[in-house]
Order: sequence, then C-alpha cells, then structure tokens
Amino acid sequence: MIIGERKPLEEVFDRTSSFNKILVLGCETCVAVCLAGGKKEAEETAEAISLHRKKENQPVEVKAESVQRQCEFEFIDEFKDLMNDYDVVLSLACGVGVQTMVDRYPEKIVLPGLNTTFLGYPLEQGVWMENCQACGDCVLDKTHGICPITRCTKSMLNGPCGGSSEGKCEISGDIEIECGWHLIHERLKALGKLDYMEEVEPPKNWSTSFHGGPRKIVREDVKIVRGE
Amino acid sequence: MNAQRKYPPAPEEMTFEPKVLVVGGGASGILSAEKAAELGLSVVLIEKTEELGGKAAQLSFLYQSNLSPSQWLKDKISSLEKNNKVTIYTNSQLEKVNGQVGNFKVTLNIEGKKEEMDIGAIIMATGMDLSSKMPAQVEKGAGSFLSQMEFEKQFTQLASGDSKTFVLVVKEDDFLIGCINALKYSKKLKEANHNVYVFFDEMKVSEEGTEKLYHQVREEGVTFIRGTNNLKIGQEEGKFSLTTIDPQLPVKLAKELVINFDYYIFNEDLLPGADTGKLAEILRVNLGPGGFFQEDNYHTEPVYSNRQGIYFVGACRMPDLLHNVQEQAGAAVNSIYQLSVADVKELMEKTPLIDVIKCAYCLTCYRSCPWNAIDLLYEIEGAAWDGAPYLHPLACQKCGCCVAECPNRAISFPGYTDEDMQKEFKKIGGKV
Amino acid sequence: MADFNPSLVTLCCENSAFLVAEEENLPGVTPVKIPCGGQVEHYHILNAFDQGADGVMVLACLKENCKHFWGNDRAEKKVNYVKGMLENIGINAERLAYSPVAANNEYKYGELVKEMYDKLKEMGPMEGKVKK
Ligand code: SF4
Ligand code: SF4
Ligand code: SF4
Ligand code: SF4
Repeated sequence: MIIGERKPLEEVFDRTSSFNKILVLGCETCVAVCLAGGKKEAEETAEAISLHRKKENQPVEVKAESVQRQCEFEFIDEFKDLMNDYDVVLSLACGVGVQTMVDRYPEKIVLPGLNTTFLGYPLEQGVWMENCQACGDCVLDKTHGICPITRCTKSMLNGPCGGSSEGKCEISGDIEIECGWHLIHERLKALGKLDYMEEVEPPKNWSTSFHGGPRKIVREDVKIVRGE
Repeated sequence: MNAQRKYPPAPEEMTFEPKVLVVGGGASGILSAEKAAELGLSVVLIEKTEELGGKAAQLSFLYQSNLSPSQWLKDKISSLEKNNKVTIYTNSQLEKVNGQVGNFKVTLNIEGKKEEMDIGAIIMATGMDLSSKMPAQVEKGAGSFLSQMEFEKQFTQLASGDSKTFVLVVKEDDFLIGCINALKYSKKLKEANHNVYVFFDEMKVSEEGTEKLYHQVREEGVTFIRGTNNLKIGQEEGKFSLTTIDPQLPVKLAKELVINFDYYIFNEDLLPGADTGKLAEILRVNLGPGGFFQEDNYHTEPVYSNRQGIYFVGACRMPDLLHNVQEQAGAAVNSIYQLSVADVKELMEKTPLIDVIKCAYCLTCYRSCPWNAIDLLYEIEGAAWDGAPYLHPLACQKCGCCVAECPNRAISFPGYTDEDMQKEFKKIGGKV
Repeated sequence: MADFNPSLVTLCCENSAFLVAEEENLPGVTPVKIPCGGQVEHYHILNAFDQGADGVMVLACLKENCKHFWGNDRAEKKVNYVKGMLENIGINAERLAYSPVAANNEYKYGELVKEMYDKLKEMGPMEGKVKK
C-alpha cells in the first residue's frame, strides 16, 4: 500500500498563504489507511489552516472533503461544482492523486499536502515499513520473500556487502537499519536453502524499473475501444 | 465468524445465547457452574484432566469451616452431574474463540475431538500452579521438609502422636494464602498438642477473622518470629535444627535461637497455570501482574476481563480463599445474567456505530479498541467488502477510542458527534 | 491586561475529572464531558480554540488508572501532538495542557484550573483573537 506523511504545517501554511478559498481534499483509500490523508486528517488540516489564518488576521474560507480514491477520474468528477468555488485544492492524497486531479482540472491549482513516502505495510498500529520499490521484475521467489532491492540499502542482488555487521547495515546512524541480506540469509537458513547464497545473480534488467523512464501498462484485452 | 449476515444486525436479531462455558473443573469452576445453573443458564464445564476437583480436592480442611473439602467437593460434583442444565467434559480444552459476548463461537477439544459451540459467556477458572523449592540440601530425612500442599495431603498422619515440633515458614509473596494456611495449621497442630513456630515476613491478616485467629493461636502458645531470611538449617544424627537471630532485637541483646524440629513446612511459590498465556491469546484478553489473569482496573468488578462476557474466577486471576471465590463466581454469573437480559435496542442508541460505507477497512478501530469489542466480519450484506469491522454493542464499553482514531470518520458516537462537541464549545466564554 | 478574562475549556473524562468539574462551577471555565481521554481528537481541540477558547485542558484519569486501560495515555500523546501543531500555527503551546485528575480530587481540579487560568490571564487573549 502507498504510505505517506502529512507535510509539515509550516510548509502547508506557506504554500497556501496567497489563497483565500481553500479546499482540503483527502483520499479515503491508501493514505487514509496509513492515517495520513483521510477525512479526519483533512478536517484537522483545514482547522489548522483556519486557525493560522485567524492568527495572521487573514481570514480564509477553508473546507475539508474527501473522496473515495483521488486517482480515479470518475470519483473526482463528483467534485466539479465544489472545485469551482475554491481557488486552490490542497490534496492530501499521494502524488498519484494530486496529478490525477491536475489532469482532470487543468485550470485549477492543486497543491500536495502530503509527502508520498513509500510502498509498505504497517508493522503495528502507528509503525510503517517500506518493503517494495516496484522494480517491475520481482525477484522475491529467489530470496524467499525478502526484497533485496528494498531491504538492502544498496539494492544489491548478490549480497551481503562487507558492511553487514551483527545484522545491521553499515549506513545505520541514529536509526538502526537491518541488513537486508542478513534477513535473507536467516530466512534461507530457516528454510534449509542456504545454497542460494552461493549462486551468482546476473545483472537485473532495470529497464522495467524507473530507470527505463515512467512506466505504462497497456492491456488491449481490457481496453475498451469503441466502434470496432 | 458471527452469523450476522445483515450489517449491522437489527437489535431484535441480536440474541444472547443463554449458555456459559466454564473452563476449569476445580473448586472455582464448580462454584461458577453451580451459580450459573442456579440462574437458569445452561453450563458447559470443561476440565483438562480426567476428573473434576482440582487442587481443592487435595486439601485436608478449610479455613473457617468444618467441612471436609473432599466431601464438600464430592457433593458439589455429584449434584452438578445430576443437574440437566450442566454438561461436563473432562480431558477437554478450549482451542479457539471467535465472536463476541452473547454469541461466542468456541472450538473445544473434547477428548481429542474438535467441537464447535455457540456460547454466550465464558468463565475462566483455570486455577494456578504451585512450585515448591526445598529450603535446604539435606543428605537424608528430606521427608521432614514439606510444602504446604504436601503437608495438607498428609496432615492427619503427620499430626498424630504428640509433642512434635513444627516449623512453619511463610516467605513473603503477593498473596494471603501462605499466611492463612500457617494460621490454620497452627490452630489444628496446637489442638493436637504440638509445638509450633511460625516464621514470617509479613503477617497478612486483612481477611475477615484472620487477625482474631492470629491472636488466638498466639495465646495458645504458638511462637511467631519475624524474618525468614536468616534461617540456618542444621542436621545432626538425623535430627534437624533451625538457627536464627531475632532481627527485632538490638545486636547486643540478640541471642541465637536454636529450634530442634521434626517438620519444616514452607509455602510454595504460587504461579499462574502453565496455559494462562496461551489461553489469554485465544481469548484476546490482557494478563495482569505476575502473569495471572487478574485485570487491574478499579473502575470495574474484579472478575472482569478486558472483554465483555469473559470473566476470571478463582486462582487463575489471583490465588484467594474459597469463600471469596464463591463471591467471585456470583459476581461473574450476575454480570452474565444482566447482559443476557439487557435491552439491546436501548444500548445501541448510545453505542458508537460504524458506517461501513465510509469505512476504509484500515483496521485501526479493530486494533485500538481497549475492550476488543470490534470484530472483522465476512460475507456481510451491505458491507463494501469482506473483513468489515463490526462494533458489538454488548461488548463495547463506550470509551470512544475507536471513534477518535478512525481516519475516515466512519464511526459516529451518539452524544459525542462533531455537532455535539460544537454545541458544547458554543458555551465558551459564557455564551449560550 | 488586568481586565482580560480568559475562556478556558476543560475536556473532562466522565470517569474522573468530569465528576469533579460538574461540582465546581468556575467562572470562565467550560467543562465538556468526554467518555474517556481516548476519545479526544486533534480536530476537537483545534475546534475549541477556533470557537474562542483561550486555553484548553484535557483532564483524564490518573496514570495506570484509566477505565479503558490506555485512554489517558492516548490523551496525553494526542495533546503533545496538538501542542506541536499549535506551535506551527503560531499559537503558544502552553495554552493546551494535559493533566490527570482523580474523581475525588476536587482540590486538585480547582488548583489545576486556577493555575491554568492565571497563566492564560498573563498570556492574554488568543493570538489573533479579535479584541472586543
Ligand atoms: S490517490 Fe489513489 S493511490 Fe493515492 S492514496 Fe488515494 S487511492 Fe491511493
Ligand atoms: S523485487 Fe521489485 S517488485 Fe519485488 S518486492 Fe522488491 S522492489 Fe518490489
Ligand atoms: S467505543 Fe471504545 S469500547 Fe466501544 S468499540 Fe470503540 S474503542 Fe471499543
Ligand atoms: S477505523 Fe474507521 S476506517 Fe478504519 S476500519 Fe475502523 S471504521 Fe473503518
């Protein structure tokens, strides 16, 4: 799932300071689930903006709304009328949502209110962990379920490097980072498949990843083409 | 999961299965089963060993009562066996619990066979474990050292004859039992003309009547000495002696006290039953201090757990005396009865309600409810997809935690909605 | 600011502080009943300020004494979070406070509220509040 984090309020205030009618638009899917940009956060952010502006003696009209999925044209079309009443949309969806909005409402200014951080999952309530970088050519079968691209800081396919110590990655600073290849090793050991550690992986095809430019999937079997 | 297909079920569809599962066939379980049957509830009593009775069956006598524990238990058990409201399964265990109060779906392992059952409420009465450590290494004559339980079992035999010397050592722990046992033994031993010394750290006499008993046995000649840490055990020609210095006296006056004894009786460590942790997971309940089931919450009844409809009675929550256990059983059964006759419709008017249409299925409410009152339901009509959070009105304690955490504001709490809060805020500064 | 009379909102848990707050009728103080500290929402605190409060206190059960186990801890954490928001907004974070109060401690409630009230009096009206 997409994980995000609300932008620092100062940044939000700064970016919206020249507008007097603001629509804060949350998204009720991924970013709601990671407690960053759902309806509740939208209301909270709107209230913060309103208080800030009051304090600055620059009253503002601000409204909080949220949409099922901000990355779907049909869902955001619902907001057409409302959009006309506001100068700017502060979107609390991920970057995908912001851009979908811009695509649909090219004449509108849509600002991101959220930093889209990674693809991950909740380890427990309030803790999220990145574990996939959408490389487009999944190798989880080889490493038995632990992603070397994400969990290894250097995205090495033939790890670990010499910087792995006591299960920690050498780049660990104040925050300890687990060595992805240590995790893979432990997992392979538990499964009795340690011989994989001896195998040499050939270079990965990174063109399926972002390195090949923005990706697009076209599926003719599901595309609707009228008049054929 | 629950059988509710409609979401949320209408109040009249919410039934309370008038059946109580009692886990554990010791005195606590037997008392609970008896109480529940008295109030007209059906009872399923399961016991993991092959017979009912538990630890109480091994006692030789009760505190403040002349009943013989084994006879008392036998009577209770045979009347339970005759009671057609009560079904007893031995060699059986609790394996799985789904659902919520009123409609728990439990899976039992009955003599190796799995059986599912609809249950309204669960009383845990799984008791405790005892662990006894010998106080000293002795070459021979280990039979002179007995834990309280071992002593109980052989009491009649050991207390025969006269003028033997018994040393009762009660090491400090969190419970009353050790002290009360020592007092109870002192009285009986004194009646049989023996010499009795009691070593203790803290004399716990908060239980009604125990202080009187303490004074009584003192007057009858039992010697009480405070401090159990500096006891030296000596052995000479098969005879044992205990040496200590009265810690209360100033050093100059303190003289060594030497007691030649025949029996040394010590209190066991009282531990939660070995299954307690596993059962807590199955039941989704918190454990209390020391790993017992006790829920340390002064706002609620002592027998309550952090889940409505699940209760702890007897030593599994905290080792206690039989007449207190009896009261606990009463409190648990009473609460079950109250819930079974509760007006669900009225309750639902005051309980938070999840609107699954607005729900993002983020599981936050499920994870953050302190009472585990929210279930995830499958195959529910009206829900957007499977795994819909369902807030059970009987299980909910109306704290509003889930309401506050919900990212999509899908849960509304009558009396505390945004409008209600704003109405209150309108009063700010004396405005009305 | 001698003639400034602050408005204080106390969000009181019904299991503890509200039982006291109900009894004490302090001028300028608006007690609001909440079912548990865990019910406090960031939004509601901000909203109280927006509705004209000069200060907000969240009062819940004593540590380890919450009827709902961790509602009081959640309340304290949420208050700390909103304090951060207030600072960002440019409002003195001291205008918001969390305190545990027992149901039988009228004295402590009175003291805490008075202390906060005096503090608010010193701070003056809410930043940006239109002065009458
Ligand atoms: S815009 Fe789409 S991808 Fe982004 S958070 Fe919302 S639902 Fe998820
Ligand atoms: S290998 Fe690629 S697709 Fe698979 S988990 Fe890692 S980053 Fe994601
Ligand atoms: S109100 Fe409290 S007890 Fe009820 S479901 Fe929500 S969190 Fe649980
Ligand atoms: S917290 Fe709200 S959005 Fe999340 S599962 Fe519960 S009701 Fe649904």
